[in-house]
Amino acid sequence: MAGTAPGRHPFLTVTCGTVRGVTYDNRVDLHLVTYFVAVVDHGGITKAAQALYISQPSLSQAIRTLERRLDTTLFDRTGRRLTLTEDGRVLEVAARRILADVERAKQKVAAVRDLEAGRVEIVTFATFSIHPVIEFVQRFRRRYPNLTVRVNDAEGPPGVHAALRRGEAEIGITDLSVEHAGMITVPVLEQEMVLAVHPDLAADVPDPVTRAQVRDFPLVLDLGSRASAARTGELLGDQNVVVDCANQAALWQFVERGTAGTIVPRRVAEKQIPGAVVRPLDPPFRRPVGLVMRPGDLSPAAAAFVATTTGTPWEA
Amino acid sequence: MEFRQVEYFLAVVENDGINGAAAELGVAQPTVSQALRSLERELGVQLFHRIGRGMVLTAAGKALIGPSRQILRDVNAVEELLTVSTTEVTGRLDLMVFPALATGPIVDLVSEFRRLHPKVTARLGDLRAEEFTASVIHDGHCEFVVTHLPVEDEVGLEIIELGQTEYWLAYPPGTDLPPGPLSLAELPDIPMVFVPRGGGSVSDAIDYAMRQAEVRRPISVLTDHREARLPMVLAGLGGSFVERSLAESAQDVAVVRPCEPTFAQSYGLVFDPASLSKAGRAFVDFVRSSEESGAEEQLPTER
Repeated sequence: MAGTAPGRHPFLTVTCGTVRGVTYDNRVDLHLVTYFVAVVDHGGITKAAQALYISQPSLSQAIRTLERRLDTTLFDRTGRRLTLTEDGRVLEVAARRILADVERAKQKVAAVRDLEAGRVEIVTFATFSIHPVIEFVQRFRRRYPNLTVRVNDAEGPPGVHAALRRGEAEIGITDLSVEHAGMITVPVLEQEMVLAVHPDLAADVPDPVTRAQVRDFPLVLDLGSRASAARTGELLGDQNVVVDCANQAALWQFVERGTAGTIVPRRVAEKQIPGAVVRPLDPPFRRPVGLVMRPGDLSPAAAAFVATTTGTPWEA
Repeated sequence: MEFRQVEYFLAVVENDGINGAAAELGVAQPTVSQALRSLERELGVQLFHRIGRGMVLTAAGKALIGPSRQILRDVNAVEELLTVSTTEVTGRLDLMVFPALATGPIVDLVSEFRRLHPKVTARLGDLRAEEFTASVIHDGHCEFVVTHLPVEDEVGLEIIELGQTEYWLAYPPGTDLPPGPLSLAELPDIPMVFVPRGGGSVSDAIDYAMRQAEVRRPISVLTDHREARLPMVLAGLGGSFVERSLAESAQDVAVVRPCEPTFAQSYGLVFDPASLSKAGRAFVDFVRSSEESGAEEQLPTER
């Protein structure tokens, strides 16, 4: 072994976690690495064996096994004290890194398990991007301030299902008035949809306004969205969509400029389009909003999100 | 191929199925199905996968969307030529807008334009990636693109610069920050709300600068919904980079600061002058004239 270039030293393959060119029997076990570092740290077999709560002969045996597997001598046994050979010093650096990496890996897993780190993957569509998503995220972050929430965009309820099935997200926030076969649904709240219009356009709009009246009213909507409230709420007339706008924030601005009205959740109208007048629909247009999940176990973070959102612990 | 078939095809795409298309067109469902099938027979390829009761576009179907829109615009243009009796501008303005640029000047321009020409309708689609600017115009997906400049592969395209985007920092109400511009190194130890894509090269520049400065802040929320950034800041979920106009509009309710160095990039309206519809031409004239008549007033350029 002596004379091998450091970059190609077999010990370095250990730090990569792969043991190339070494048969299974020759593999360096984690416990051998631990023993080796203990012998180095305690300056000898006797003290290390005490610290490890194993017998001295079995520790000596383990070190010899390690040397045999690496086909080298790690300790110089000629003096009274055990000292590292050159190969031994190379292994020491690698071994400490392995132990540190193992420890870090354990901590990371534990942190995710114990909800001290990690993230929860949510999927929804633009209609819900403000309400109720922000409220749900707030409740969750207040309880778990170290967890990141990832909000993925999908195209309407079918897109939410697809993302859940592909495993891109664990929890969907969606319209529960559509069918969710094969999924678990948890209703959370009801959203009231209203007509939001610029005051200049509102003068002739009755309060509340009927669907037939909305069908004659100029609207700015996202027609590309399969989840468009106007579609599900039968609010589309022949010619009343004057601007078809895929961008929510731009859509609100069109309402503020007085270009047309739009159909939005009341909470969104009040917060995001403060200059607009709100007209409820007659009969009222409400839709149930809730969570949708694949059947089966949730990750700890996802289960916690369901719990903070619904206010009750989640049991699969 | 008949115009009617093209029209029905687009209606099925836009209304998410035969039922919706039939309702929108005011014809019977079998009529739409029949027209689609004969179009597919003629083209020798399926345009939709029929899955249960649903219709999902095939690759061939997707390829047909852009050219179909162009065909309908062409037909519309011919009809306009034949009805010269009226000088009224009609038709549809077809724009695709990069999400980060969807608010601000383009909304003002479109809403002002509609005030002048109320018969014109508009469609603002999402431009998912700025490098597609030239291809979505050439393939007929839209007449206009609003994107950051410069444009890749701009041969044959015309560009009107509309302004500059600049990113500011917005923090929840009550955040204690020194006055004046904030350098990246001075970012408070508050988690951040980020949008992973959609900011274009300016957000890439911010990303890069933060990495260079080794500035790391925990991330509270990663959201695909750009419009949720400021509401999330106001809800106390974290700080965020937002467009300057958005930040300034929120300075009474949030703590906003310019960022040091300045992250800014110009953007504009891109189109192919050779293939504009009547409404499109009128829009170009309108944008040019509003540029000349007091750019500062009409277009809140962020300089």
